[in-house]
Amino acid sequence: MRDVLEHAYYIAKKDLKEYYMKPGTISWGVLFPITFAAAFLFRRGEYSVWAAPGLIAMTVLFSATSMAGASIVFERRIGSFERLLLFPTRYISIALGKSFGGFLFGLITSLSTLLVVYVLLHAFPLNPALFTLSLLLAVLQSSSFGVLLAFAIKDPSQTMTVFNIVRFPMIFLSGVIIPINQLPPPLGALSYALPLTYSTELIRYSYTGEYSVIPPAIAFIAMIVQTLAFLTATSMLIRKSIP
Amino acid sequence: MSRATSTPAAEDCICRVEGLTKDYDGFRAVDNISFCVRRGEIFGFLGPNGAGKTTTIRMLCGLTKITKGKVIIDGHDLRKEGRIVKKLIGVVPDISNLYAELSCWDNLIFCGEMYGMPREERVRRAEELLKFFGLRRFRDTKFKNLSKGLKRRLTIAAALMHSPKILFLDEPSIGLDVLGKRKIWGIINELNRRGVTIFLTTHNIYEAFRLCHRIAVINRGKIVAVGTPNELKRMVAAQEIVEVSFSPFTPRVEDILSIEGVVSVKVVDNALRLVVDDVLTALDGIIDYARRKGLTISMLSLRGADAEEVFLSLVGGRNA
Repeated sequence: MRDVLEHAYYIAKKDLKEYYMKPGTISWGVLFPITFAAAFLFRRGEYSVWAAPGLIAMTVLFSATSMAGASIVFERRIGSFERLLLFPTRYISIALGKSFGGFLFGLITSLSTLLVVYVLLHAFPLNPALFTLSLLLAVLQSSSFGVLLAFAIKDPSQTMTVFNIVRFPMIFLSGVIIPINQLPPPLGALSYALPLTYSTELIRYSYTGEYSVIPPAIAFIAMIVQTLAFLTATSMLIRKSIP
Repeated sequence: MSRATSTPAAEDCICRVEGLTKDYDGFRAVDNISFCVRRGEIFGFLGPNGAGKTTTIRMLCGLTKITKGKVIIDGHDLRKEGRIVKKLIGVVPDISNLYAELSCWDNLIFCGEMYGMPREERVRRAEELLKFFGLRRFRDTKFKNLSKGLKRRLTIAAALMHSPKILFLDEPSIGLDVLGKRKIWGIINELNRRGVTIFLTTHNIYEAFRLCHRIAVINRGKIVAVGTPNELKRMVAAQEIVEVSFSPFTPRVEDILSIEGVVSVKVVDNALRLVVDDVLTALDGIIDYARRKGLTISMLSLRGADAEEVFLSLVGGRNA
């Protein structure tokens, strides 16, 4: 277990040095979510505290997945991903390492959004400890989701397009802007299948003390299960990718 | 059936391959090959493009799944003890694929970290390798800013970070200019002098004959010969080279190959270079062919085979 975490840490450290300045990471991982969050906080002539947690969750999703996506796309394109397979490491270390890179990047970006939220709303989370835990879990869940998605895409050049096809509907279906209980029933049902729904619900609860439909304990467990499932599926995809 | 000339004892083999086979969707890329790489030698895997060299080296490194057969590295079965084997081997792929945004130093340190080397050892080894490969002044240069030759050197250095028992090099000098090639060849020789066993694949006959203690010639997924450069030359010693040119036109290679006694044919400028195993029969056939086609033989010469012709003879003229 120790060497799994050690290898994951080294991979994440390397990825941060290598990819944090890539255009795709900066544009989709930092500029878009922060601008989008700032724009949506201002609704009907006033700033909305209700929207803040969802927008933080959305920032987390975009930044963590963009970083994970950029590192995998680039390495698969130039053939350096195979270098990781030459090291005496487990596939789960690679999955975890790639997720950690996205995790650290997502965490830094989400702190920037938090700053925007604070400057505009002067609002603090109701339960700071739970909020911190929710944020950390949301970043790990999003980065592991991004890593899985990046590995599942056959053509690396299409990664950002596919990422956005998956991420954009989530903004509208996961309770970021529209509460889930106000969605038409089929779309409401669909929201349960989206990872962003659970992080939005948990962060919102920790921030405002309210949630739409998913109780915090359920959201918490679901996020842990999803993160583990994404990591396991990624390591299986890596194994399968060996011709 | 390969023409093997030397059969080393099992304990001499640092890498033993038995019946290795790779199938891709019904296509057999590597067909039941067996060989041994002895400790301390430079073993070459020589073959034309598409012969199965890269597929073989990828299987030996665990980058491609083995369909059938066994690979034993220093007593460990690759399929059962993959992670142990990966600690024993160093791999240099045919492309220099280190991390572009990382400096030479960071690339080496990352490799050391992934092999579980303690911090002091990583630093000592990275310094030693930068010095050995003449890269000290590029210590903080990003990999993407290095020249092709320097990238190649750093890629080899990265594969040596953990002091592997055997180094696998896939086409080590591909894409390099003459000076770059010579530098890499010097490094390979020096590494070998320092005790590193080397397995290299190449389609460059000159490189294989110049560097390797023993060579396996592979064609269409099968090993067609194994031996020292001199042994391989002796295998085709009975063969000779006929250089011939015709006028007013050069005949088709296929027509000349069909002449009895002709083993392989290569077009060189306006002449044909033939490897023949029976000079008199081949000359008879050539003269007869010229007469039938109304051609004049404007030049004809006879000599022994060089490295390239040995290779052509072993893999068959149509493949070279």
